[in-house]
Amino acid sequence: MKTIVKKISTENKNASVNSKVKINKKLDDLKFIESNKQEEVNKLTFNLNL
Amino acid sequence: MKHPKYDLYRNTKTTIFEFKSIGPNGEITKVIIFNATQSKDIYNLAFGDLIYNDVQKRYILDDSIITDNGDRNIILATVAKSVYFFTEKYPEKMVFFKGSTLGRTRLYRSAISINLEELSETFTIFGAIKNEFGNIISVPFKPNADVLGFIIKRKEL
Repeated sequence: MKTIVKKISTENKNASVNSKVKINKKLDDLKFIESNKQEEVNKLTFNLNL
Repeated sequence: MKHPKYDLYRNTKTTIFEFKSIGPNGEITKVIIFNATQSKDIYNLAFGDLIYNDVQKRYILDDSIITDNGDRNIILATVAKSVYFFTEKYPEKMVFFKGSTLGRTRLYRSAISINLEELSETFTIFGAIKNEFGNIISVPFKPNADVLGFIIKRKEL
């Protein structure tokens, strides 16, 4: 009996090491509702001396 | 970073980034936002799925969704790339981030640890903990230390 081994590619063809960054001006107009986590972070006080 | 990453789209100010996670569960829009905090030099990195709220006619960044699209490492590398771009534009700003759960904070710690050598070429990385007064203070990054979050500062090159 033959055993067929099917190789499954884990490569994601939509990603690359040299990916690009482009401007999308539509993002300038995105209006967000503040999440609970964002509200929590807004309350944090930082005391850093870096 | 030498890992595969998705293409990113950014707003004019380089404070909002968007990309598509593509995998077995389809194409999912992810957003990374760098928000000002109470400290003018520290920006919070928020990351999650972009969901439109029909009632409020605004978007929600939902960081609680588990997409399970089989591309976790690509997503982490893409988010890291956005930090490179944000701090390139604003080198005087530091970036604070934490996971939405303890597990995700540990995942971020693990990802930082694995790539620490490469990240350290560009950034100084700290753990963030709360002191007895409830303030966030920085501690040296340690791969095994439990922390509230992380603070990243771009090195002066």
